Amino acid sequence: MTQEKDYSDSIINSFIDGELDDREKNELISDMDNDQELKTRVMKLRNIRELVKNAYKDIPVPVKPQRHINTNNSRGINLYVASFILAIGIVVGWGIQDYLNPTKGLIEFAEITEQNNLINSNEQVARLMIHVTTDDPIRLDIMLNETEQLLKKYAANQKSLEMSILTNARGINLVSTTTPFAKRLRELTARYSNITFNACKETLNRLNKDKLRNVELLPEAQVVPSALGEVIEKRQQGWSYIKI
Amino acid sequence: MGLSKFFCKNKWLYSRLEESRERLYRIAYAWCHDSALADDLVQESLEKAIRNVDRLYDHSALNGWLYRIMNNCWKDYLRKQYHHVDVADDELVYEGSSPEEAYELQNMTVRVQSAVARLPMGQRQVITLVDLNDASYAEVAEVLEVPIGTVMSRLSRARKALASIVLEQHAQSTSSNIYPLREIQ
Repeated sequence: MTQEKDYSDSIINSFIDGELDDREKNELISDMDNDQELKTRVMKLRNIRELVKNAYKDIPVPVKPQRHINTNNSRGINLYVASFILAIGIVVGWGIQDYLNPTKGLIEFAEITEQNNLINSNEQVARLMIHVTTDDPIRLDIMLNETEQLLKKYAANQKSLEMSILTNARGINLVSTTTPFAKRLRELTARYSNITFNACKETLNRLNKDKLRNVELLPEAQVVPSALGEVIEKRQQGWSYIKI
Repeated sequence: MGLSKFFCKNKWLYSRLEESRERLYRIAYAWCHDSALADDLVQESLEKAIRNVDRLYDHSALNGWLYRIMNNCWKDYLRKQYHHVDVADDELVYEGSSPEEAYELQNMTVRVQSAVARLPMGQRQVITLVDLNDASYAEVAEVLEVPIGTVMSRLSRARKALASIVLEQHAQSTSSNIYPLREIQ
């Protein structure tokens, strides 16, 4: 004896599209064996799915590309040109010390800073603030690698260095408990006492107030009242500033 | 090394965007059934994607993100066309009289495309994303910014309408081709 169930079209479609779980799927397959009408409905809808798929399978796609991406307006630069301009931008950014994507850059930069401090205040110490506004893991990874190299080099040469990593906007994610870099931050702060990680209170307040996220910070992070205020203050104290 | 890593990431993304062109075009074409417009939509979507590539935090979500951008471009286009008379649907309805058109009618591909073009836009978008792109209901819901229940109901209505238009018309057209033999006296 068969127990006929009333399957809606939505359920049948879910079956066809692989949206049912194994139990539901097996139940429907078993019911199909006993219910010719159900089987016909399934076949009909499956047929429609195949027809639609096939109807657009051989559509001639314009030869790549009829108009290359970005050639049609003022933003009209192709990808390669965009990459080139990006490269130029980075080089220029390096020159104006506003953007750093360093290899040996941080070390060189710290040495210049050290020289400046020596000239200005007879203090042979490099003070470096890295302002992080991105949570792009690749950029953060590069930044942390370079930071570690720099700390290591200065420690090995017994030279003075102070580093502050200031985070706000998306950069807050670097010092939140959800960061993929928690272990590295812990290791860095444990090994070197001359590095601090700071988070902007304004950003934290905004995120919490808008209920966007309840950001919890790593114990290694300290809260500063405002990123902008921190930048101004540190610059006045002669810190060098890099934003990534 | 840092610099090369940075560029590799962007190169990878750009090549993924270029690879998506064909898939996007099929979906765009299925939405508008106009090759020039579909190409424009894809072009505009890719341009927007490149400009906003930094906003894509999860690279595994690239496809859904691209379809969402294209859906926004498509909505913008439709909004601009709001005060214009859209004759596209009328043109797609088969009025068949000539032998060539009759042949076209027999062609299932044309029949299905024509039927899809006559579906309301919401249904058309859902069925093309699911059937052409094997997108899950959850992905479609995210792209079109509608609840999953809406995706399911639109899909049901779309397939039902297509079954009615395509399969039943096909059955009628084949049965109408069966002529009884005349009795010759």
